[in-house]
Amino acid sequence: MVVVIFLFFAWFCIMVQVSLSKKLPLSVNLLLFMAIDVILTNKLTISAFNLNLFKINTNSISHFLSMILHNDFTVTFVLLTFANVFLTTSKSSIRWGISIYTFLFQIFIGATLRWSHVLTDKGWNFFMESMMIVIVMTYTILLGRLFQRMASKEGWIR
Amino acid sequence: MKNIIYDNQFNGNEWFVIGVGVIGFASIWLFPKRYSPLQTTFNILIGVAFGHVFDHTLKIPPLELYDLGDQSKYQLMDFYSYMMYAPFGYWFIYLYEQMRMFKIKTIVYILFWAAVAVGLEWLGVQVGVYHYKHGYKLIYSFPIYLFLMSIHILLYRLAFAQDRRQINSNRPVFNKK
Repeated sequence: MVVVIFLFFAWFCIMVQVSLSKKLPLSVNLLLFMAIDVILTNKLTISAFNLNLFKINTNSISHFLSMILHNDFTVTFVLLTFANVFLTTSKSSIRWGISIYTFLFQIFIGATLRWSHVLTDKGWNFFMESMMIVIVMTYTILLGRLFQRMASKEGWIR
Repeated sequence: MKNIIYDNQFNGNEWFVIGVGVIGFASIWLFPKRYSPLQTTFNILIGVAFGHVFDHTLKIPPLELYDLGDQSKYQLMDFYSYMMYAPFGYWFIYLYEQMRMFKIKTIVYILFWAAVAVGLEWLGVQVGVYHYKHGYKLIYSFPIYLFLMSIHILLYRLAFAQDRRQINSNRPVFNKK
């Protein structure tokens, strides 16, 4: 059951990204996807296995798959959508809106991980979770802007 | 996750990672530049990203199929070991285009590179970069390399197809479709 919920989240986030009317060029999206994935993977391994700040439920394959789906697809696509909307508009209301959506959605899916016993907090708390989300969002925007500039300089438009 | 310590010294496995990384990046720097900064970043980053995703899925519980470096715990040197994959992505695409290994020749080309990757992984096992666990065998990596290299070519050709580029852009970008 738990893996179905996380499959749904992954599907939803991928569909939101695919359905956007204004998108960054594909090369920028691919580079950003990889750069986000590297950071998220390191964050997960270091906080769970090195610092023991939370425990990943590894007793069942469905819980483990849920964690992988969450980390490699759901969060990555939420952040991709964030970068695509943020960097293709100049309206501050849209920028604020997508920033709040990205933050709250990550808080929500993070809480779902805890409710469904995929993750159990040990030293991790809400403040650390919020700070981590803000840091990763800032990283996404900075790298997105850099890749966007590189692409526009080289003429990659789609 | 039970932490297994394989060794505590700065020895063969660290030198292997540093050596492969330095030779790989130096060769990119020394050879004529054929790609734009965005293309170069793509080809370099893809190996690092694939390495992270697969290693951090296969080496952690419940699978725990292998360990990297001196111990099961993730260390700074393990992070650096992903940089070792970076130049391979670059050379993989460089030679693919330079030798015009398009259409059916792509299959032979990917098979060749997957064999090279397995050979390098074998060397890595010998010097202690990889420690297989729970029955994992070197040959299991072969289909993973085939799959990842195919994805690499596919994504590269998709992202850097000429029709994605502004016609009047004057910067030379090499991509033979």
